[in-house]
Amino acid sequence: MKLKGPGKQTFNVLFHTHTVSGIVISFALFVIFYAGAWALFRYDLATWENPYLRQKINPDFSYEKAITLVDSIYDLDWYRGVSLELPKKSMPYFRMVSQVSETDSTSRTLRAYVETFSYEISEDVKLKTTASETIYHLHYFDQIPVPRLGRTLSSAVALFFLFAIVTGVIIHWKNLLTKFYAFVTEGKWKMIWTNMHTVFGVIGLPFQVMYAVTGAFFGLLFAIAPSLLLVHDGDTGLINKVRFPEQQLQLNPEAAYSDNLTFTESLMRLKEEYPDIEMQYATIKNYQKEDAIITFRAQEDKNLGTRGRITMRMKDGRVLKEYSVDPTNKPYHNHVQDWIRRLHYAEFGGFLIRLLFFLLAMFTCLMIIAGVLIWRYARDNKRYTYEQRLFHHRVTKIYLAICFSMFPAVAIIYLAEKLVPLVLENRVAIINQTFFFAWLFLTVVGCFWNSYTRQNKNYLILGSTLVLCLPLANGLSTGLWPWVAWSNFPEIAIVDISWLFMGVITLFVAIKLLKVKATDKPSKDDRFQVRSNGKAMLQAPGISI
Amino acid sequence: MPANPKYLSNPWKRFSKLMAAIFGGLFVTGFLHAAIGKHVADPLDVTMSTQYTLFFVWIGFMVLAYVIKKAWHVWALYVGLSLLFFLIAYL
Repeated sequence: MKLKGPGKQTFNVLFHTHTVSGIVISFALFVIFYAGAWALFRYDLATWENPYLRQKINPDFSYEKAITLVDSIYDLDWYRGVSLELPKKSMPYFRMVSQVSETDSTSRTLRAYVETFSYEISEDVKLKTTASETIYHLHYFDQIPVPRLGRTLSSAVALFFLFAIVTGVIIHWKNLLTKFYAFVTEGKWKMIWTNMHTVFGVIGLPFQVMYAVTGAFFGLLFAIAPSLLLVHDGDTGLINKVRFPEQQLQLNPEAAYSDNLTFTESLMRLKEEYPDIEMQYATIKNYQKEDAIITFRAQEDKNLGTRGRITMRMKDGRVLKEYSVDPTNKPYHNHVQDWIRRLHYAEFGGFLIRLLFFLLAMFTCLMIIAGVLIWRYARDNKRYTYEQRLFHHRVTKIYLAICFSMFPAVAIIYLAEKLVPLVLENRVAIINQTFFFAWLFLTVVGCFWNSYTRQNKNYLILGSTLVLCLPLANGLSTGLWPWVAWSNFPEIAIVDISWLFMGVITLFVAIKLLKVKATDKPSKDDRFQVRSNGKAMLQAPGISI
Repeated sequence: MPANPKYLSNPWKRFSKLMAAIFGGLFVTGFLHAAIGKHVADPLDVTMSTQYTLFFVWIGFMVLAYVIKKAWHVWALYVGLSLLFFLIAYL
C-alpha cells in the first residue's frame, strides 16, 4: 500500500538535507549509540569489573556506628547536607558523600566507602576501575577537556539526529508501510543498503525518536530560557525547585543540639508511612540538631513513574508533605524529568529492557553504517569524476574504520582493566590511554584496507578474539573462574559466559559467513557502466551523457 | 539516487536557510512555548513539558524552513512569528 508522498521540489530539498545532516553527524552518532549501548550494562558489569565490589553485605551493619565513625574522622559539613547510599549488590559499601574543609580553607567533595563487616573506610573503591565509566563518559564526549562542551555537542548531534529522522520519514513516507518488512538481501548492493537503512530506520523509529529527544534534553535545556524569563519572572532555579523541593527549607546553622531520631529509626518511620517504597539514597541536613531533616529518595525501578523524595523532620519523624514528592501520587510536573531521565538510562523494567535497548541501539548503528554506504554507492557512477569518487571512497573508509574499530577497542579496555595490576597508582590513566591509543591505532590500520568487507571481517575477528580472552583474563587475574564464581557470585560467571557466547558467535559469523570483496576502491579504468536493464556497455572514462 | 540538483539552491542561500532554520526556529519555538505558558494552560505544567516538546517543535520549524522555497520568506516568517509570540508572552 502506498501513501501520498511530498511533491517533487519538497522531496528533493528534504532528501538533500537528510543526506547532509546524516553524513555530518554519522560517525559521532555511531560513537554515541555504540558507547551508550555498552554503558547500559555498566552496573551489571560492576562486580565483574571491580574486584573490590565482590563483597557480601553484613546483615547486622550499624548505620549509626558508620556515620559517627566517618564524622569523627572527616568532620562532615552537615549544614550543607550529607548524602548516604545504602549498600546494594552492585555497590556493597555504605557510601557517604559530603563537602569537607581542607587545612588551607578550601573544601572538597569526600566520598567515603564503609565496608560493612570491618567498618574500614576507604575513599577510592570506585575510582580503582574505569572501563565502564570511560565508555559511559565517551557516549557524551565527556573526555573533551572543556566543561559541558562534550555534553552540548552530543546533544546537538541528537538534535540533528531528530532532524534526520523527521526528514527521513517524510522522504520515505510513500513506501513507509512496505518498508516495514522489506528484508531484502538480493540485488545490487545499493539496494541492499537502502533496504537495510529504511527497514532498521522504520523498526527502530520509536526508539530512535525517544533517544534523540531525551539525548538533546541533557545538553540543550538552555532553550527553555524564554519560558523561564517571560512566564516565571526569570526564575532560573525553577527546574531544581520542582525536582528538589526540600532545598527551599531554610535551616539554622546555629541550631541547638537535640535528642533526635537516629538514621535507622527514621528509616523505620519511613517504612511505616510508605510500606511499598524501596529506598537507596538519603540526604541528612543539620544532623542531631533541632531542625534536622532527612530526605529519602524513593528508588523503585519497576515502572516509569515511581520515583519521589520524602522529607522528614528527624526530631519527631513527621513527614513534611509540602517539601516532598510522593512517589505514588505526584502531579504531572514532577513526572516529566523523571520520565525523560529514566527512559534515557533505561532505568525501568529491569534487565530485559536494557537488553532490548542494546539490540535496538545496535540496529541503529547498522542503520547509520547503511546510510553512509548508500551515500557512497549512490555516488559511484559516471556522473562523478574519478577524483570525486576516490574522495567518497576515502571518507567511507575512514568512517567505517572509526566505527568498526570500536568493537575491538571496547574489548581492549576491559582486557586492560583485567591485566593492569590493581595496586598501580595511576592505573586509570594507563587504561584510558590504552583504550584511546588502541582505538586510534586500529582506525589508522583500517584505513589501509581498501575493501569495506575486509575492514569488517578483520575488526570482527580481532574483536571477537579479544572478547574470548576476557573470561581468561578475569580468571587469571582474580581466580574467579566461572565455575568458581557460580556459587558465590553468579553475576560474574554470567558476564564471563556472555563474553564467551558473544566471542564465539561473532568469530563464527566473521570467518564462516562474511564474504570478502577484493577492493572497493574505484578503479581508474572502470569504464564499464551497468545500466538499469542489466546490460553492460562500454564507455570512455570522463564522458558523461 | 542523490537529490536532483535542479531543485537545490546556491550555497549562500543554503547557509542563510540553515541559520534561519536553527536560530529562527529556536526563537519561534521558545517564544511560542512562553506564550502558551502565559495565557493558555497551567504555566508550570507547560514549562515542564517544554523540556521535551521544545525539540519536536524546533525540528518542525527547521523542516518547514526547507519546505519554504525562498530564504528571505523564511527569515521574514520566523522573525515575525518570534516577535508576535514574544509580545503575546510579554503582555
